[in-house]
Amino acid sequence: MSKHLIDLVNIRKEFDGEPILKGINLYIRDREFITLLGPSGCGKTTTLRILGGFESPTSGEVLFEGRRMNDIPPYKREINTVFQRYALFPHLNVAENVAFGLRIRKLPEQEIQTKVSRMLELVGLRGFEKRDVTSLSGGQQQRVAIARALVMEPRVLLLDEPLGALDLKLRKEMQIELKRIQQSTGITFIYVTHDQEEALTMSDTVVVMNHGQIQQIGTPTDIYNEPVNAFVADFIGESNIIPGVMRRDRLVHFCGRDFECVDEGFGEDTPVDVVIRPEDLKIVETDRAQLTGRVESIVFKGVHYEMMIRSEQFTFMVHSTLCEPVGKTVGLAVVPFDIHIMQKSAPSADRMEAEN
Amino acid sequence: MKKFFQNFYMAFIFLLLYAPIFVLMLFSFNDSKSRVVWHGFTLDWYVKMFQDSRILHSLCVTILVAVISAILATVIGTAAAIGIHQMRRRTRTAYLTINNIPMSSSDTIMGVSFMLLFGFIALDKGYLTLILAHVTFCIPYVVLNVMPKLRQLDRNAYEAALDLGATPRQALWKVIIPEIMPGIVTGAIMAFTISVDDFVVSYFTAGNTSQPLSVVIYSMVRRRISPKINAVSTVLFLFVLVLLIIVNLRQTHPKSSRAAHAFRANRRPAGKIAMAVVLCVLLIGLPTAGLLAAGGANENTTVNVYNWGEYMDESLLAEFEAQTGYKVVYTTYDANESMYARLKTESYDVIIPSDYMVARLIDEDMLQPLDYDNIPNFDLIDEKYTHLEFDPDQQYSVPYTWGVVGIVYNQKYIDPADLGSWDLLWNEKYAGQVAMFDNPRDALGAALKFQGHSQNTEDPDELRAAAELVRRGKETTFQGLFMDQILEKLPNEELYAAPYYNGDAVTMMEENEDLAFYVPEEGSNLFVDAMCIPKNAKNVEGAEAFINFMCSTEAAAANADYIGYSSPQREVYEMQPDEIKNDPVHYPDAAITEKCDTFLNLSDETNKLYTALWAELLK
Amino acid sequence: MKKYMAYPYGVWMVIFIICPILLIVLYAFSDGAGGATLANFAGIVEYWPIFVRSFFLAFVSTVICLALGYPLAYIMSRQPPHRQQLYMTLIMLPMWMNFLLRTYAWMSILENKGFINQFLNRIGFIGFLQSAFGYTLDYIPLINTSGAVVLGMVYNFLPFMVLPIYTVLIKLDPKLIEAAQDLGAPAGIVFRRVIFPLSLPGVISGITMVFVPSVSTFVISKLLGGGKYMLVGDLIDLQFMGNAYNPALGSAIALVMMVLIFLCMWIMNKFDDGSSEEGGLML
Repeated sequence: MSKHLIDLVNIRKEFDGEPILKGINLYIRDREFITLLGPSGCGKTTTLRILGGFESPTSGEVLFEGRRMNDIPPYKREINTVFQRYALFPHLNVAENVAFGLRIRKLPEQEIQTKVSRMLELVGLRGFEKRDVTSLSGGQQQRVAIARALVMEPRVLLLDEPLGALDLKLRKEMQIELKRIQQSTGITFIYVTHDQEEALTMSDTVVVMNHGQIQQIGTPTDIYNEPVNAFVADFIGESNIIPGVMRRDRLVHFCGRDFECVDEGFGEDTPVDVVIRPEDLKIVETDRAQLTGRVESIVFKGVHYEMMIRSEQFTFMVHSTLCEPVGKTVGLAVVPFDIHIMQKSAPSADRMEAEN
Repeated sequence: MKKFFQNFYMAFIFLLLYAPIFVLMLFSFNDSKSRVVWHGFTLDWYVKMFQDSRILHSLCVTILVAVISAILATVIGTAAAIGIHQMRRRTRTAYLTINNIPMSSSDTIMGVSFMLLFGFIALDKGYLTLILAHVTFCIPYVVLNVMPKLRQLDRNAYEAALDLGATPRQALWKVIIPEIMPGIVTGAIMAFTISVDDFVVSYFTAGNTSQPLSVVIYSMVRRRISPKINAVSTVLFLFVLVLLIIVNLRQTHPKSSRAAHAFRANRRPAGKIAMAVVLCVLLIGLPTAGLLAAGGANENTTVNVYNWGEYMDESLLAEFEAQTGYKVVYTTYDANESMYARLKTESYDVIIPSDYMVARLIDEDMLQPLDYDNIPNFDLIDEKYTHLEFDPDQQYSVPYTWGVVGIVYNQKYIDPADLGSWDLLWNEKYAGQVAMFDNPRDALGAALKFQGHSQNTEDPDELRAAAELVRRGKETTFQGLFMDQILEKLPNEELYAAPYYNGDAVTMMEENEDLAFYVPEEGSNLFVDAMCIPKNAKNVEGAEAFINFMCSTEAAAANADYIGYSSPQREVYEMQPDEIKNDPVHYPDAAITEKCDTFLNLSDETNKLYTALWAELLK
Repeated sequence: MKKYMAYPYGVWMVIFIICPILLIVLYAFSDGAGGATLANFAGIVEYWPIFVRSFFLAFVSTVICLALGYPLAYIMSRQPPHRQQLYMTLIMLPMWMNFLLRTYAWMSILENKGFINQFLNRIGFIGFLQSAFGYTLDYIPLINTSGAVVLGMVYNFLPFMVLPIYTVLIKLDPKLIEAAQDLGAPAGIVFRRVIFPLSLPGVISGITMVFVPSVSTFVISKLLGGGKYMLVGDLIDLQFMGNAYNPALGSAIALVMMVLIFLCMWIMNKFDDGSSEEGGLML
């Protein structure tokens, strides 16, 4: 396990007395691709700006290789940023945008030119040197912004929703591209997005945030398969979140019957949230079913159909390759492993704050 | 059809906008002083323009003040805009509201308020006051042009620069400033334009040594603008036209030149800045050099002369300068009262008020006693004109000219039967063709004489009746109330008859042979204008030298010849040929002067009544 | 990018904008001997006809400027960009000929023997009037009338009406007009319901920028009105630089005028619901 490159210790941030970050504790390892994921207003961009040096935390410490860097201005940090709307300088052409930081460093002209052309090569913009940045497409501007940051050879690259303005196909391409660049350069990427799919595809580690707090830190697989609370479960992919009661270890009650499950340690007769992914609900013959319901609607989604199936207590979202007609009563089944038990979300948030 | 209508409309508006400019330019080539009749093509006015030091001086002042103000306003305004952009909404609104005041309040009020401010902090009117005032009304235009550019700026552009290692200062200069440059340039150009075009604020804040072109033009506008001014303006106009065309051409092809520069792009701003610096140095340097060459405004070597318009042979000034080494700053007024107002806030070395004003200035302790040892030529003044009622001890004044007020009329249009009396000005036959003086003392004086009263009456009823008479004339027969404009309107036959001073009558009669002059039988005003040194004079020695020079026979003779007024100097009178000595217009005889009397200084109450009646009349 | 960059200007504004205005107030209430008085304001009452005339003439010229300037700005805003630039320059350019001279040139045009009357005589119009209607003059009186004063104001201040309206009109999203047309509005309605209301901020600042200088000008009336149509500006000039010399009264007049102008602007801004920070003042 490589050492911590950056530590955020108990970071709080307030704007006009309004708490935006309520105590962030996070470490980032060298060469890691880490993603801050959350809905807008969750504090992920603020965290990034604190890392970049554009904001200073109200309290808490930012450590870089163990040294405090709260008060180091952005231009003295070995960190560079790719901004949300790129923030390219319209008065400079492509090459000059990329060369900007190098010129500030007063590198020899020869070296600047070499580095700039190598970097433009890397992002696939060879031959665009003299183009006006305003004449470029969104994807090309994106690449210029990345090249401009990378040419500085930073230890850490911050990316603030860099793909937000691109269309779907381009976004997919750029995701792969970014991952490739990260791997070939070995730079630590700290990536902010609200797109869970993007987060899961690219990251080594995903940090899910909400209301200024970290909800869960883990690998994409962990986050997807073992969400710690209903918020994470709901935010990462789609979920059926059903109120239930934990009878005892490995037995949960919801929708009017008991289900076997694999979770332990919630105590007896504790109210919990039960999370079941839509693809984990199987449509079966009614006689073999754990639950039954009527098909309310069906939408074709390409790989699968998305059905809303209404049982007595709850309307489930089900992903299936089967196509059932609307109005038909079908049976549903779920294996114990796919039933995820969570603390009720509200108290869980309180607990996290109390811990801090 | 719609297109045609649109084009027609545009053509109409632009005709309206450019007709006067075309007229001005055209008549700068006119081989005559006339501004309505074409007499053939000449470039004389352009030649003469370069020989007129007053015009060139004011042109230098205009350009210098405009450049310095534009630069200062651009620097302060751009910094302010950047700062305001960062402010919270409340502070920003406060800033912008105050910033809007100079633009949305009238320039008259602004000019007056600056005058009060500079008076209050005892700052003498001059280049400094002029520039301070200009900078103040230029900044808002810069701010308003830069702010939108800042708003268009990518919110993160500044942070991106910091992120790439630029210090805040570098980020400002390498990113923010280049990005908002178009706004800065437009703001600077507007500031420059508005400074050049300004008259009102300059009028209230310029000192007599720092008059910009517009103020000089104003002092001419009231009488006759020399076509030299048309020439100067045409040159200035064409200069700007060329400048704008160049700027526009550059703006339309920025892309191509930008691409061509490519990698060396970062050196371009440096080159640009260098060019701008060179331009500024030239624009500041040339006028400054011009002003310095014309002689610095050193108090010990300048003599500040404040005289009536067209009341001195100005070539004598150069002669005086050559003889004594002093430098004369010469400015003019068109009424005793405006001179009096100016004198309250500005210092002059020599003034030439009329009799009653001399008395008033003595009363108010605004003149200093003269040292006749330094003015030996005073002995040449005819004793008939000394120790008069307004300065009984002859302590404060040296007579400059004397004369009478009469009516100048055009023989082509006025029936000889209607001549002889003041009545001509109220004769309905000539409604709209006659005029009256535009100052209370002369106008009411004429009316008083017409009604058979003394011009120096203190009787309110008589004064009210006189004011009523003038008011009636204004409503029925007067085309307008004028002072110096009469000098142009009579020879141009815009007026058929108007009251004026005999000396100017001579000048006008030379211009238009149909003009003639008579002193009304009811009597009129006999005036003596005299040279005085105000209390606030800064160069008394120079003033004495100047007065002495003007009393010398050569100078007085040349002057009398030029202005046409009767000279109080004995030798000058003797030198005149008999036809002038005996001409009642040049030297009114005893029969005429007997009917006339001089204005005396009036009591405070009467002065107030005059002001009140005059105000009443102008409603 | 720090706030403090605006502080020097803040100080400047206090000294050169706020202080002078306070001085006007101070002088307006002073009796010349260090005491406070209201006498100056009592003195103003005599001059109210001049105020009425000033505001009336300024109002007339503002209306004419709006009537002439709006179509001009509208036509300009519909031109291709390079044409727009050309028109902008053409409108700004006259400002480079000194405004006194431009006004002075109108004298040559309007005088009894000026160009218009010369022209009318040449084409025989005056002769026609004389023979057909018994017209007695051999010219049409144009100069030294209140019409000439209004013309002078309109001529000098028209650009200040055109530029703000134009600035707002070019920023107008053409899609809005298309949307209105799409919803079935004919051209007239599109203009009345969409374009004009949206250009209101420009109109308001145009009106301000024409009305304020018109109401306080003091040269135009002298040159084109023959001194017969005294305006508040002339009155103020007279108190500070002219025959009357009474700065206290002058300050009082200036103060009253400021208040009146402010009231006019305030009433007018009631029509402008959009609280745009700078209106359409930007050029």
